[in-house]
Amino acid sequence: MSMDDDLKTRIKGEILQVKDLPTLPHVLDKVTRLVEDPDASSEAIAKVIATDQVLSAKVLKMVNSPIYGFPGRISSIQHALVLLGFNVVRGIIISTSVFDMMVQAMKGLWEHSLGCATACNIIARRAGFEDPEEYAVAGLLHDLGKVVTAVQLPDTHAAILKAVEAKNLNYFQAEKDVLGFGHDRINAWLARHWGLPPNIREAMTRHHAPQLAEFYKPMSCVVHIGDFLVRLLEFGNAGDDQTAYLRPEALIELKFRMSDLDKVMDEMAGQLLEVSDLTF
Amino acid sequence: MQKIPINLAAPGMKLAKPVTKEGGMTIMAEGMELTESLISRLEAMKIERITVQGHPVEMGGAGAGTRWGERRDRLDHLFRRYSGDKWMTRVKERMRQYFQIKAAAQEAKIKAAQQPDVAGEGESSEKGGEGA
Repeated sequence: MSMDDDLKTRIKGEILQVKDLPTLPHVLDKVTRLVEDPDASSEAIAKVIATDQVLSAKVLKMVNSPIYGFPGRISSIQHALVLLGFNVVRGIIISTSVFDMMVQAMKGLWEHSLGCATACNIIARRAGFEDPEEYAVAGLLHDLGKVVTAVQLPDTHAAILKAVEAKNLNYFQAEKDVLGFGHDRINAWLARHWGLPPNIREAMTRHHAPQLAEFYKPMSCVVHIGDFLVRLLEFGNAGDDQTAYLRPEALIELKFRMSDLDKVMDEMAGQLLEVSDLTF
Repeated sequence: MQKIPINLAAPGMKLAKPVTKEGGMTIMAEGMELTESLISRLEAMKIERITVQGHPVEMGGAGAGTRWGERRDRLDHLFRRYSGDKWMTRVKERMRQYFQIKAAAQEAKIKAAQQPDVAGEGESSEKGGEGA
């Protein structure tokens, strides 16, 4: 608001500098190419991922966490690919790659992301959606844009946090106040850059305004409600100490009543305790 | 119930969940009261975390171990920007109802479990904090 358009454009350019973005493991490039080949088997894909042993161990730790509901039962990357699908495994690889950055950039954001992933999985199951793990990954990645700002533009990040304090804004509003746009926009760009599937991309982009989602409204609504509930339970910290606005359209889309949120929170309370110490 | 790193375990705390080794073998049963020697045995077995009853350790920030009563008392603060919004006020009051029910159940459980040497309940901190 206080900034002219030229400055906003310049900031946007700086944030979206490809060279400074967290680099993803090389095996992910290879795997992405393999996935595009219709003849490639999950065995072949698993073999490529398994060449990076550190990464494989991290992926297995994550898929065996209570977030995904198969605790301790997935013993190999191939097994993970069969059970969860490549989109979920790719999302997890991305989250492990930005984990260090996230933990350093914003205290509590990792826990907030884990909590949101947990909530999304529970909500998607309750709504009767297939592949709830994909919803969980969308929840896991929904605030990545905040990390990018914090890392690329530390001064801007500091100004956002200051606005949160001084003007009693939530982080999203403060971003718009300082930058002219929020992490939802950065998410859209990041998701495209990293080749995430369109459903996860749209959910990352629309989690603050799921009623505007065009193609994957249910997933956007799930992440929206997940974000609301994690904030309500104050698990982790997403940059402010406020609740998010709960869009009634999101509840309607999932055919949820308020009592459904009770049931989701009942489940969350137990599971958050389990995921509270999950790190890489 | 709170999950804590083993180095914060103290004699007198009671296990809220059994301690298991990888592979699922139970080492210590739920409800067991910790002693110095049990804690050092757990450490020797490379157990990193345990889940204990109550909320004996303040680990900074609200989180998974926060009590429902604290959550209820935080609602006005969390919803402060939407005080003029009819829908969000409704949501808040609905959540207050839910937290109130959970808090009452939790208090009752704590009271029922209060045996002579209850583990740390009384000394849990007042507020969940902001988790800044």
